[in-house]
Amino acid sequence: MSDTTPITEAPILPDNQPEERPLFFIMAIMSYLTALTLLFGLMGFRVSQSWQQDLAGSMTIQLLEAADPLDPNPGPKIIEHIREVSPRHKASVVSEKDSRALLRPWIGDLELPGDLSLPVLIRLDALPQDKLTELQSKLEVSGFEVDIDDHSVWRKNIQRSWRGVQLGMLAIILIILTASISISSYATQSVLRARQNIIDVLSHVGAKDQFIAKLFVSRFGGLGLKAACVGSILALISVLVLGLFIGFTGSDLQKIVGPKLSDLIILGLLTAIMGIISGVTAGHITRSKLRTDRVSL
Amino acid sequence: MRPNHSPIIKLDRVALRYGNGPEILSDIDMELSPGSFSFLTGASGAGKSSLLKLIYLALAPSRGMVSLFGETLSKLDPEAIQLLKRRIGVVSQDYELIPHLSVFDNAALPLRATGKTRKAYEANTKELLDWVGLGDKLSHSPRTLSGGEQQRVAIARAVMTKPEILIADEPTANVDPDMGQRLLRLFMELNRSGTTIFIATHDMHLLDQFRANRFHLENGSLTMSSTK
Repeated sequence: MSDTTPITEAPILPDNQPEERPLFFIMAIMSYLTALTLLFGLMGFRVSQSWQQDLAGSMTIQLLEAADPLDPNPGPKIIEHIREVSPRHKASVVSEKDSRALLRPWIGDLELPGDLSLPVLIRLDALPQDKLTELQSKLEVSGFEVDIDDHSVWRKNIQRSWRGVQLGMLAIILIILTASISISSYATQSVLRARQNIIDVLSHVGAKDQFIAKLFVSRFGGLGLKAACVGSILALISVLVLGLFIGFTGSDLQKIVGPKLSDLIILGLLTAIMGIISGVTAGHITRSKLRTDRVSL
Repeated sequence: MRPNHSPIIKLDRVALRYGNGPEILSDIDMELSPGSFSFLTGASGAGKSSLLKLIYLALAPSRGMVSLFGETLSKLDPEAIQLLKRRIGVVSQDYELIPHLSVFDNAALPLRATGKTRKAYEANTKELLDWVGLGDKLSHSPRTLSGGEQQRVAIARAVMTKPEILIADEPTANVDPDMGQRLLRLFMELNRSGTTIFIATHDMHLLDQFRANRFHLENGSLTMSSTK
């Protein structure tokens, strides 16, 4: 009598084995950390870009010496000169309240005496170099001694700080990816030991190393991919929840730093990279083990 | 055309040691002709399984030369060795069945491992399992089978690729005498179709019932005792 039960082709390597579970969890944690670092990095990048754009789009003129020392309000005269040079560029005198606010980062909440005169500050849209030179000579001719700050020092400082942050993040991501390779390698070795019987049988029946390695590549590649998906999704959820807690959800800041579609694409790439790391490491370890076994025969 | 008389298996002054231990096989010279049926006897621990492993390429000799199908193994690359293995069927003492695979999947493994599609091997596998009397247990797990049934799955797997050599290590050790006889008859049937059979056994009762070459292994040395 023939067995008529439909036979489904089972995978040669058994599914959901206990020795594979730690790899799944650790890879998910690694992916979570990498995704979180990436997401914060991307948010930091957008903030820094936004600051730099703001700074690059404006200038500040500080009046060092007025043309008429007795004039109590020399700001509007300087603005007139700016309009003469470029009528379309916006310019305004920074109010005393705002000037005092600008000092706060340097001196803290220290109460300044009310009669302490603060330098006159004029904020204007960034001028092209030729207009700037023209304005400088006009002010000089009119007797104003000014310091024009095009914010390049600030921008350089932000760029330098951002580069430092970038390097730090890159280092963290590299450390995590290296750790992921080690973990994959360790887990593959442990599963190879547990599956030695299957490898022996496959070897006896004439399976090529490539065939055996392929089994482990697809098993661990798939496992790494699943774990990375879980890790990346959890990281995305964490960032959204954190946004709710610190209150930028729904604010203008969210438009700048909130997750974008491009972030999802990058997370997708990260997920693929983690899967590839797992798969390639598993393939490499399997092939080296098969080679070593042959040498030690 | 002249018949090919060159040996299908040739061992020339072969020795084997594990690690730095003593030689368990010394200066083994052996030749098997294509289509022959031979037994390998010897006490437990005499090195029968090790000698078989040298032949089915699970071990490499410490010295000496092993040739299969006229090819000297030391001159072959790993890929060529794997291709040679496909021409050898092995039935090991502990069957080496994969527990999570069904009887069908275990038997079909050699074809699957060579990249054949299920469609290509399904009919052959069912036919072969019918031939060994397991046509009614295709979807069963090996864990649910008796020793004799597991042995027959191992035999079906070993002959799945129609090997030119079949090597069996103590195939009747874990089965009752009746099943032992039936298994031996399976081997004889394979031999009649041209397969070279080499069986390690210490079952003297079994030996007496079949006409075959006999090699005896003692103290690491091999002697050809008789052709009955």
